Amino acid sequence: MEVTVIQAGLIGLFYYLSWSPWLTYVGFFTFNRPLLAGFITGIILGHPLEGALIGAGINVIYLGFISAGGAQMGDPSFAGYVGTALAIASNLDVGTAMAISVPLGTIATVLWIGKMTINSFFVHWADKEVEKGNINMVAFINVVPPQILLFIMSFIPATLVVYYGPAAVNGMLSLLTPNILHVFNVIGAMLPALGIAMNLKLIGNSFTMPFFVLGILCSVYFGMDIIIISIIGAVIALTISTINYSKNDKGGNV
Amino acid sequence: MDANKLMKSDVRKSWLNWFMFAQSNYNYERLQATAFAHAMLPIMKKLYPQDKEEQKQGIIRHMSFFNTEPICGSVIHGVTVAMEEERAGGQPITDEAFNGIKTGLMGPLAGVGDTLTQGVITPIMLAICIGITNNNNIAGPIIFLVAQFIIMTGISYNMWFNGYKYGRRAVEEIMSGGKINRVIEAASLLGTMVMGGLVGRFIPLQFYLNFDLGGGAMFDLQYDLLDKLMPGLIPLILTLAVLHYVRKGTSPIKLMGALILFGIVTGCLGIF
Repeated sequence: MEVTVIQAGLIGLFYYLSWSPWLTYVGFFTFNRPLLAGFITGIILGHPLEGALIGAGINVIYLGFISAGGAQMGDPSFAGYVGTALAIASNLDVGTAMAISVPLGTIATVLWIGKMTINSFFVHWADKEVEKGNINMVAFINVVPPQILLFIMSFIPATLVVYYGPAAVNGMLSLLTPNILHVFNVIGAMLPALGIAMNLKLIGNSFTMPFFVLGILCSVYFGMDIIIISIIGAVIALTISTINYSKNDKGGNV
Repeated sequence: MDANKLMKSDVRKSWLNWFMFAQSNYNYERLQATAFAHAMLPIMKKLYPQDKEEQKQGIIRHMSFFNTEPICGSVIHGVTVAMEEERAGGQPITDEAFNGIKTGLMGPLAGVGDTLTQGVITPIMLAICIGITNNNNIAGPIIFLVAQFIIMTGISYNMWFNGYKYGRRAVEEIMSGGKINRVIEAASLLGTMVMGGLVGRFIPLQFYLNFDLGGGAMFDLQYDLLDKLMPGLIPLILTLAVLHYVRKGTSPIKLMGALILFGIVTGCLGIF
């Protein structure tokens, strides 16, 4: 399908908003995640369910995404908005969409580094204004200049890639045989291991890891829905936690 | 009206400034410094309505390097606001005391906060809502949006006001009471199990290897062996292998490259 300028612009705008303060800091925990990014992109392009499914797939790769002190792996939001848009426009399946959005997210990290570097200048500007006694300028400088910068650095690249990208992706796809598409699907099935492993690095330990195996069995062998798995998990977690703390010693270590 | 007392609305205004603009001017030099000062602006104006010099010194005091996890770290701001109120009431609290409290608390709270918000709550909510979405249900992203707003806003607001009300005791309660560890421990177990639940859907790797046993009998490695041993064995081994390298400190970008390469090779050879 064709992506219109307005659609591309709207997707670029939401990408900007997902990193901006206008949706409060919870924006980082919601609009910034590919699941919601894919859904919103899908609504803009007229395929909400498809968008949500693609976003969900991309999001598994970034499940373990942690931004601490500005160091991070890729930009999940860029992968979510732009990756979903390209996938819908070029009619890609979820696996292929996952494989193409990872490089997008990785390249977009440059935008983040650029922003954090330039923002340092605004701190000095704020120092000077406060020294002069204009304390209200702190509010202005904390919001307006960095947001103008962020808007330029996020809205423009995202809009351009969404608008011009589908032609490039389609050109690429016309060269692809079913065998190569199979390879994309294999890649798409491997990348989630990274997202899951990154999260396990934080929460997985000798005490919790057996439950990882249990989770796999529940889903693969018993074919349970994730909701049921999480309810079983919650019951086990509460039981074990109660036993541990009623004995008044700390079992398991985090 | 007593100028040196804060109203609940002042504290709330301060919280909102932080809750929105905490990362607005995030930068390499002083990270969240201007955001901290921005949050203290309504406090300074209220505490020193006539004294422009005190207002200015107050803002300069909070323009120093600051970085924490914005949701759970809110308790630090609450404590700081309470200290500023005491200072305006005549207590001799030095700039060094403010700085000591802030820098002393920001590290530990960043650790606990990142684990709780980014490591536990968000991935669990994501895993559940991704699962819902995958049943062709658009309720997934909608539930995720609403739940995250309620949870994160609730934590941030409560942290801020507990810090304001109980001062440093609030922090000690959180950090040493064992309560937070208990929450993280239980949530880690739940999270680990849910991560396993995602594996089946999203790492659907199967061996495509068949061996001719002669006489028309075929041996399908996946169906005849692995599925009998343990379904989902390949995704399990792959995830554990990646986890091993993540723990060793291999960069995620490198691992991504390696997985893509591995996918190309095994996909081309028809192994998967």
